[in-house]
Amino acid sequence: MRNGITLFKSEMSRLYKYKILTISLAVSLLWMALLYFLGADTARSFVGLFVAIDATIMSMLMIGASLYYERQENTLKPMLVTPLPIATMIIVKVMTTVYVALQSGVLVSLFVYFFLDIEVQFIPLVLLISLVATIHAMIGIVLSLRAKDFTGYLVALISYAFIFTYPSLFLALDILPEFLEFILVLSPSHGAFIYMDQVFFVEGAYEYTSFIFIFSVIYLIAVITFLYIKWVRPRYSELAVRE
Amino acid sequence: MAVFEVKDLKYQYGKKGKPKKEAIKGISFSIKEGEIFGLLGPSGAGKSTTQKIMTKLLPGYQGSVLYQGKELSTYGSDFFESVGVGFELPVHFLKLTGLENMKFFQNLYQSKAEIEPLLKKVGLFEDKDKQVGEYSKGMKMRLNFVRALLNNPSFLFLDEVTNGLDPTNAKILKDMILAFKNQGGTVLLTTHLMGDVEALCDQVAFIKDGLIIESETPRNLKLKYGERHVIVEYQNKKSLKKETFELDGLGSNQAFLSVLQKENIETIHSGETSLEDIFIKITGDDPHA
Repeated sequence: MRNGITLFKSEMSRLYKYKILTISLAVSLLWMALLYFLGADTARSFVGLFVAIDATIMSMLMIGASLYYERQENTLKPMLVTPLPIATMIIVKVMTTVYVALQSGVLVSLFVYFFLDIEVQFIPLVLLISLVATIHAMIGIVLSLRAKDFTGYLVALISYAFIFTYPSLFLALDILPEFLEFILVLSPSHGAFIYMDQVFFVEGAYEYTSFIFIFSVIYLIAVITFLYIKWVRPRYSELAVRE
Repeated sequence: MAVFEVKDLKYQYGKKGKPKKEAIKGISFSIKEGEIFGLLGPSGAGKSTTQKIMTKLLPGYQGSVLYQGKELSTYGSDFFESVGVGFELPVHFLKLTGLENMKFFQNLYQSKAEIEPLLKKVGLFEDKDKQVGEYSKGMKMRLNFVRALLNNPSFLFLDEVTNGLDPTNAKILKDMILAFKNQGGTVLLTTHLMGDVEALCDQVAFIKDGLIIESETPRNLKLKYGERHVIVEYQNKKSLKKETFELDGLGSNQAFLSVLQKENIETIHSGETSLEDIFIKITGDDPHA
């Protein structure tokens, strides 16, 4: 536990030095500027979308970049010969990603709350971002460990977005018919796009049933557990030894 | 007392359902407390696999690896509190400074060595606040060595520790390894640099195709593989002459004594062979190839 907190602090400091945190902050500022110029009425419709993009694709991009640097610099292997359990290393990686997604999501939400008078449900926002960023960090680790290089990772990321992210986005924008939700609910990105609008009280937001909401949460937790046991944990140590 | 006791160690690479490659085919050796043990052999012989097993990076081995009398697989992550690992390649965060890198790793251990004196010893103190990306390969290798010592280990795993270093810096590291040994530390050195072996090792094992084919002290190996003769070169009537004398009974060899007394001797060499020649003879590979 003590070592986990130490590693978390060190990881945050490393992400700052590698400018990954700065880039994340710059993206948040970009969202804020866009929302400001869109005006309160239009911004209300888009703020959920921007926060969802941060928690999904940006989380995957961030953890992918972080792992890319570590693979390039051979720093995965020396971590495995420290007293830190592998589970802690993975949890800390995921936690740093969640922290960055939360920082970005909360900053943007505070901005729209104070400057555009958009109501925000902050507790559901934090819970939703945490869950969504966790699963996308896990998926990011899986794709990153499978990819040969960063280009390969980007291709995998874009492919993932086409299959799992865009359909949910299109459903949220009423481009796809509602009955498809029973299929899309299986997408790990679905929750982010469907439920984020509720957090910002968007009028006409996609209405979900309690059953689908509960199913989504249980499903996301199950996928996180499955990914960790079957993919992330074994692949992480395997790759670290191989590289 | 043996710090490590390896008995009939076997390891196979490969995934389930696919043909497996036997990398280690049943090796046994022990490393005594306070000694520097050299594991030598050509590329792909099984040195790195053995070291990875001993550093708990590769699970699923067959046979037995005892550390401090207890099976290695029964140790948790606390095992790493007492060992230090020096890797063959630089393993640093390039955008962090040398000092930041060392603090990053050291914070993960309970026991902490003083970083700055270590950096001074390897000649990196002046550059401690530079990003490691600006370091030369030799500087990164020296920082690798400091990283291995960050937790005051009692056992050091060192893989090609002087690789890429100039002779002066290589000597500094070798002196530090000897000082570590003199303070009671134990070392497993994996290398193909026979100069390092000559300067450091108390015991060596040659490994080839996953098997240990020779294990001895460097001195005994030289005696075993060396030729028992002396070659004398001397000037005789303005021409260089070279004669070979058997080492046995040399003190009473009249021809040898006569050369010593009457001729203008230029060089005398014993037939002692180098570890490099022994390496080639035993493994059939040139260590520089």
